[in-house]
Amino acid sequence: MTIAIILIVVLSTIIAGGFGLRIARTTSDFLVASRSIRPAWNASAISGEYLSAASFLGVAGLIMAYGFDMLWYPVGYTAGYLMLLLLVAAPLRRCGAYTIPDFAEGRLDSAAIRRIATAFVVLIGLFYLLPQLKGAGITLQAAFGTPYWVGVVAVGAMLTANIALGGMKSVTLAQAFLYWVKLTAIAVPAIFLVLHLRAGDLHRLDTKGRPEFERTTVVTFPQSTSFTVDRPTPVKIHGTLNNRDLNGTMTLERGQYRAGGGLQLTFTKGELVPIATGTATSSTLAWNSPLSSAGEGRGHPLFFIYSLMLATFLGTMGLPHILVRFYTNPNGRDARRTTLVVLALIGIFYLFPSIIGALGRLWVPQLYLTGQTDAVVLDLPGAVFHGLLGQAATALVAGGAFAAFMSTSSGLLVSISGALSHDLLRRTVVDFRKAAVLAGIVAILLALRVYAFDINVLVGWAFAIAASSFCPLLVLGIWWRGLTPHGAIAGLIVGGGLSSAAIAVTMTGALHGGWPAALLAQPAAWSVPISFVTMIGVSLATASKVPANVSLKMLTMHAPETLGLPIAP
Amino acid sequence: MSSMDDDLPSRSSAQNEPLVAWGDTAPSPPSSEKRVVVMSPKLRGKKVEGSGKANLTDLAEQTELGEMLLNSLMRTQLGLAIKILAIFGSILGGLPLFLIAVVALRQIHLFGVPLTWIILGALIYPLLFGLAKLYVHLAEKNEADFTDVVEKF
Repeated sequence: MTIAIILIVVLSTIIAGGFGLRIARTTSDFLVASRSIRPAWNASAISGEYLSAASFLGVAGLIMAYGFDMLWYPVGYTAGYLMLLLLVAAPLRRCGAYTIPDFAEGRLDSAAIRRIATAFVVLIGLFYLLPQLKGAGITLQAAFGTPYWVGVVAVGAMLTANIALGGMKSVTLAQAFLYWVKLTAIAVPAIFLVLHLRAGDLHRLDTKGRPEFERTTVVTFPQSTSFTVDRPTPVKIHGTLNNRDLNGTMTLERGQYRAGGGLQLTFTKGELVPIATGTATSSTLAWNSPLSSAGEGRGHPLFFIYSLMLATFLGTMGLPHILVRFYTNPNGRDARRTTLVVLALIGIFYLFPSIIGALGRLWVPQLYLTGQTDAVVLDLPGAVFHGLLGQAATALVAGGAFAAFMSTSSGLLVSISGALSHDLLRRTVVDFRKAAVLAGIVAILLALRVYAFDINVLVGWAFAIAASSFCPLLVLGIWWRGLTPHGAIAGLIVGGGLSSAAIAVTMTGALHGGWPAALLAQPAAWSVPISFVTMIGVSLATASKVPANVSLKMLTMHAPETLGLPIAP
Repeated sequence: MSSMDDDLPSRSSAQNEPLVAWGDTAPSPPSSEKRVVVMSPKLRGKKVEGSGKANLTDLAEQTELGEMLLNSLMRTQLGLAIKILAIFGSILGGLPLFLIAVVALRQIHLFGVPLTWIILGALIYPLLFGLAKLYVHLAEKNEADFTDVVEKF
């Protein structure tokens, strides 16, 4: 049944792609699907594209692992659209630029800034694409037991082919459909799980000291994992533990263990769940409480939350695949109305992952032991419901996960290929296809190496880079006449460069604890202000370079449609 | 020439010709000269008789009056955005502190769920939508007012 649902999702995307191919006749059709798309549809498509593997799988996983503070992720992902609405939606649509490099070049009359903006589109796009492909890898792993690389390569290749053949028209048709697939796939299981709650279940989630096994549970480790045991625990064992092959019954004494891939442990009811090293909050009180040093910025949770807020609030407007879609609105007024609908659609969706994440702590605590909380959406329905209902629910969530990483990856791949083919190649349909294949291959190769990183951590970094580079460019470009090409270039390089460097250092794992680690792990709190200050400062210093026709550009962006001035294409 | 021009079919249609060729990297005329504005026939022919012509032309041709009108519109719209941002910022910025400061929130339960979870997991979304709806309403009102000013001058 799982295969059937996944096939339906994949086929409908590809059929929509074939349909799109027939109507896509010009390069313009390929890149922005012309502008024949209505606001309600467009809002579904934007939401469909935005709700990625990070939202469908990652949010519930983080909430299960670290608890209350992680609710800030979906809040930030949603509030990003409010920022986009307030600061950029209508003016950006009116100026008629359909990518950020177009905006930068058009607003500042500079080809140099276009090239730098293109580089950041590719960097942010790739950063966001990797966790999507990771989602594909773990979904196939959970659904069919295939190794991680199989999902990454299979889904990556399929996506690349679909984009190279169909362009964006296909994606627009598919994206709108996929929003509703994702909403159904997360809402229906969540509602069934809530109905399954018995009196006292939630109370235990609130007060119990540590997660316990609710029944006799067989835990299989898909790959090698370290974990900690806090009190002597009797288990049945089969496989490799601490590099020794064991088979039979034993008691795990307190201490650190290293499970080999394929190890099977059987725990009895009521035993405490050992937790994979450094992957979750063990104390339920801490899990349940605000600012319990639960986040990745351990030790400095308040800084972590505020920095995450800045990254997600301001990063959304800088995501390359989102702005392209605003261009498909007929005018600025419709761009605003579309954003409003998007906010509603996304807000409704985010009610459900937190329910699944919280109930995961209750009903699939073995994911703490294997360190696979990212898979809670995939595993929980099957663990709670049995028989046909269980199979149907598992198939539904697997289909939703597929929809999630397919839709976001498609949009990202279109943006990256569009940027590459526009700025490096000759801007023909053939070049767009070549760029799509090239970007797809690079993304697949990189995605094979990010297994160790949480999906949402990777996505959070893409937001932080976008917030530190494109957000200041857009906000100042739209609202401040004084922005110069020099200022914009300096701000992009300093803000985007510093945030990328901070993230690169964090990815090497060189820093542990303390303020330096906290500041680098979530850089937006300092890199966004630095980027703004640099852009403003350098622009003031090079005030003579303000583009001569800046007033006309401001007029194009801010004049209401009701005036009857001509609309930018 | 800009990269996007050759891709856009609508560019060829005079009806939709923009005031400014966005993305055009051709050098702009020196600011002292009277600017040559690309105007569409639609605009040129608009309201030849009666009110409104002067201001619309002012706007399009960037006269001093036009600049003033545009500046006032931008100030109003930015002011509105900043007001909504301030409401949003004080609510969301204060929320992490509020949630730890008011311990009672954790002890009040609705259907077995602590109030803290209900606030951050659910109630915040209608709030964000409400702010967005308020903004769209007021921004459109500002634009309607501006259009009235320009046309009734």
